[in-house]
Amino acid sequence: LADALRKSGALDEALAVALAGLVRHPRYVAGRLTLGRVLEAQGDLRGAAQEYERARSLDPLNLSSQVHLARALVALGEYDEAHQVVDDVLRWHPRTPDLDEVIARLVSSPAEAEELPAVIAKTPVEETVVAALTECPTVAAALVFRRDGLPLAGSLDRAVADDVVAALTANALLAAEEYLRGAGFESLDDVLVETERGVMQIVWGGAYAAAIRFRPNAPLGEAVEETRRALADLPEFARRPAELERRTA
Amino acid sequence: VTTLEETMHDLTRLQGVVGGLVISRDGLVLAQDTRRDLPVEAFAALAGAVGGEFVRTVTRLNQGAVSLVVLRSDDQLIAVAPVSCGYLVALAAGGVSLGALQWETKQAAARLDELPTTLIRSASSAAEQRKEP
Repeated sequence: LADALRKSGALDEALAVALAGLVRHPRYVAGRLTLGRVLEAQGDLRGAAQEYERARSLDPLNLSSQVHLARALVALGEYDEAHQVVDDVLRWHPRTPDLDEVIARLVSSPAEAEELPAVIAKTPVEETVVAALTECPTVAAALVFRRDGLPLAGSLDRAVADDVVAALTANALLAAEEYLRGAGFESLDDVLVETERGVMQIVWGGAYAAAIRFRPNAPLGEAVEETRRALADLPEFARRPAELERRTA
Repeated sequence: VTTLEETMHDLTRLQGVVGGLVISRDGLVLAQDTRRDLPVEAFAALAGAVGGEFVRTVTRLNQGAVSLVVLRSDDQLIAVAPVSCGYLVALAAGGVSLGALQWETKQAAARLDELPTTLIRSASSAAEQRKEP
């Protein structure tokens, strides 16, 4: 309701509805975002940035809150902070038109003219991971996806859509991890699944996971050693965003 | 006639394997051979749940029938092979040869599938009776 009121231009009413809703549901991310957008429309950029930041801390991988936060920070002239947010977004998400707009504004700011292009030009972690895995002689294909099941780079199988592979595999990993922790195990590192079509390895990184298909008849021990070595050389594969770490803890 | 226990023993002879179980799809222990103290019932429930999770997932991904799932956790390996009566499970130390574990578990699973149904039925009945209070 608050968002509908905002869109219709009834900003005071939108503000009242959003605030009332958040009193009852303070951890509702979409509510925080709506409140931020109402405040932004009212010209309260500082208040808007605070709400976007709260939304981001509630859901560290939420793209919308990060893009809105970056945009508000640019408008406030806080380029270093905006730069940091954009850097985080590019680490976990593919580029989007909204983000490109923020980047364009940031690049045109004097403070960031030199530094930001280097950040943007940086190869995203997921592509580096896919490249490292597919360079292994025993690996036929690899897909990197986020812990929440969003496919990021690579592909596993032409016959099955990557988002289906990523979503189902992430679900199975989360369920398995929960079972294992319930039984006193500390972590789930990886899973090998042998089927009629060959062997798949599913590796749990930090915020990332990878599904890897080995070449037919690849010796299993050797294949697994290769992928483990390749991933060990990429500490960012195991890195978790600090916010996500806190939330999981 | 080879028994379930003998098939288990063939698997647990492999260096690094510390326990083997045959469990039904609902986690009942039909046969076991463990070399160290292992909370057998809890481990059976865990292996059945986790193995079943991946078997279902991979089946939904149209990857064909699953012959083996191996989980690595805390430097231990849990190998789960679907068999006609449920799952064959092996627990091994992290240093075990992965190729050998893969081969031996699949061989043991194939031998289990060749056992007479009467043998499996009697193991299931015994497990059900043990479950009774």
